[in-house]
Amino acid sequence: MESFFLFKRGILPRLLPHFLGNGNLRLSSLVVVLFCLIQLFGTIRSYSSETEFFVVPPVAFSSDYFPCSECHKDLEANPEKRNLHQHTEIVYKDHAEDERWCLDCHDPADRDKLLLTTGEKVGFDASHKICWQCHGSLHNDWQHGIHGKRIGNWDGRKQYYLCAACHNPHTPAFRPITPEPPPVAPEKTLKRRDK
Amino acid sequence: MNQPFSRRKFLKLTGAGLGSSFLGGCGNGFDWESFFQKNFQEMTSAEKNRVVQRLEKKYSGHYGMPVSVSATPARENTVFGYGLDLSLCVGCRRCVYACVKENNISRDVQIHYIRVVKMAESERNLEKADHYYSPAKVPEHGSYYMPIQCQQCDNPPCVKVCPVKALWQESDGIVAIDYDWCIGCRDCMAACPYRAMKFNWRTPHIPKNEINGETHFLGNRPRVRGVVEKCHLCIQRVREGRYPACVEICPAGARKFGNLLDPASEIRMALNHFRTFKLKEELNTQPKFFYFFSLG
Ligand code: HEC
Ligand code: HEC
Ligand code: HEC
Ligand code: HEC
Repeated sequence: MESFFLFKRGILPRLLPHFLGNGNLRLSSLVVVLFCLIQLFGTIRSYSSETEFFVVPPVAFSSDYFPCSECHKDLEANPEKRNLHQHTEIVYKDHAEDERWCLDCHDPADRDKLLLTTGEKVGFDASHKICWQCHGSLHNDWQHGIHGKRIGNWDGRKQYYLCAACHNPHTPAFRPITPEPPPVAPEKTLKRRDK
Repeated sequence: MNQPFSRRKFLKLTGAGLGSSFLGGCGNGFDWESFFQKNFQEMTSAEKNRVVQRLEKKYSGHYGMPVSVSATPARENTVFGYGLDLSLCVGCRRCVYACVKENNISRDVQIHYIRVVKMAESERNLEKADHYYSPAKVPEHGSYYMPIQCQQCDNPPCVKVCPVKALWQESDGIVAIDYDWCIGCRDCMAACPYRAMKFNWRTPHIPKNEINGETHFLGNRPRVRGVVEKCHLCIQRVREGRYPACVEICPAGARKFGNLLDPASEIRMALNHFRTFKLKEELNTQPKFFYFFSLG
């Protein structure tokens, strides 16, 4: 049963020990560096082969809440960490909350927008750019369809689910969901047939 | 010559009898065309068209709604591959039921193309897997989940054992079944190490309002009692360029699908960036279904 799960390794890990065990260290390290470069550039090339993408529109906020500026244009932005009287359903937790707070992501001046550290403002339909700032590698995976989810056409126009469709930005861990019922066990089917 | 019943007379009578039974058969609506229908692989495209039209009429009449049957062929330079990210799968079984609905699968006698099993975090032995888990919420701490369905083998044992060539591999890699040629011997069920083949022990019943009217001859068209069926990667969708239903329903994004010959496809990205493994690789079935752990 050990061989049940056989792993398909990349070529590099398999070759590495071979080179390192070799007496000619300088040559082998050169080869390793070359390999790394090839792998690196290979990756970059394959990554840049796809640029355009479409986003599944985010779930609309309830009209009581959007546009945010309806209330916020009259409110002074308050960066102080505190218990809010409004937005009590929003708990910012388990997401490096000691280092950050609301206005590190929400634009203090225009509450309908999110604010990147570069000063660029993005809409809620580009909220993945917020996550990109800290979760670069997962964002890369997402952009190439191996984290997150795409729907539509495998060979044509596809739509991406935003990070926020699966992770609440305020408490981002994937929330447990109720499973669908298990299949009917064969014993039960047999019993039913006996009747 | 005092034989009361001559050989000549006997032949005459049986001839007449057979003839009238033939005629009677036609009168009762016996479907000669389907009786002489060829194996799908041997049909010309004109024959395919005729068969498909006849089936559309039959199914539409039976279900009282328009049912289309397509015979879209495989695309060139396309071999489908499937990836399953075990780091992300939460075991919610949404895929199981989306598949049942999409593919017009029997409901009353339950058939599932996808089985999701639960395993303890450190477990690698499928014999210790649990099919019937049903906690209030998934994922549960300390376990992972593994969906298993037809692995679309490149060296498919089911195809080898089929005595009537009702099973074969299409050029895009999908292992297809001609339900009209299946004799129900179930040799393929015994041959498949993944338990992917399912048998219709009874006539499958699907509520009329739940019929998916977009079907493919080799895919989700209505089946009858006594034939096998299995996952065909939603051939009715993927041949039109769409993702399979299980990919689109997965709330965790654990399912990846694409053309193995296209370096920019998701499945190739996954193969390039993660260590993948195949189920029961040592049996040399050469699945085009890859499992991997993307995180940690
Ligand atoms: C019904 C009016 C109303 C709407 C609509 C509203 N807010 Fe607020 N919001 C408030 C009030 C009032 C406060 C201040 C609460 C406090 O100080 O206790 C607040 C505070 C905040 C804060 C904390 C920082 C600060 O400046 O005080 C953020 C961030 C915020 N809102 C974001 C949003 C976003 C994003 C939306 C739109 C999706 C939105 N709000 C819509 C009334 C509103
Ligand atoms: C890590 C960045 C980040 C921080 C910090 C943050 N938010 Fe948000 N917030 C977002 C993003 C991204 C969305 C858009 C979510 C979506 O599209 O579903 C959002 C949506 C909202 C909304 C509207 C949607 C909803 O869930 O009701 C409100 C209101 C809001 N945030 C308030 C706040 C408040 C108040 C704080 C501080 C306690 C805060 N946010 C902190 C990123 C952040
Ligand atoms: C300023 C940096 C920063 C930004 C922006 C940011 N994150 Fe995070 N994120 C972190 C850090 C740090 C952790 C680890 C937090 C911890 O373990 O307490 C984390 C953890 C997570 C986790 C894992 C949580 C868990 O409990 O397993 C998820 C999921 C996540 N972030 C999603 C997001 C999403 C989605 C966004 C965009 C809306 C986002 N993050 C934006 C810094 C960031
Ligand atoms: C289709 C849903 C989906 C989308 C879209 C999605 N994720 Fe995830 N993500 C998941 C699931 C499921 C997990 C695994 C959660 C678990 O096992 O607890 C996960 C895990 C993570 C983690 C934790 C990684 C770790 O090592 O534990 C981070 C961080 C994260 N996602 C960030 C992102 C970011 C950033 C985006 C957008 C660029 C994104 N996700 C988009 C479903 C999604």
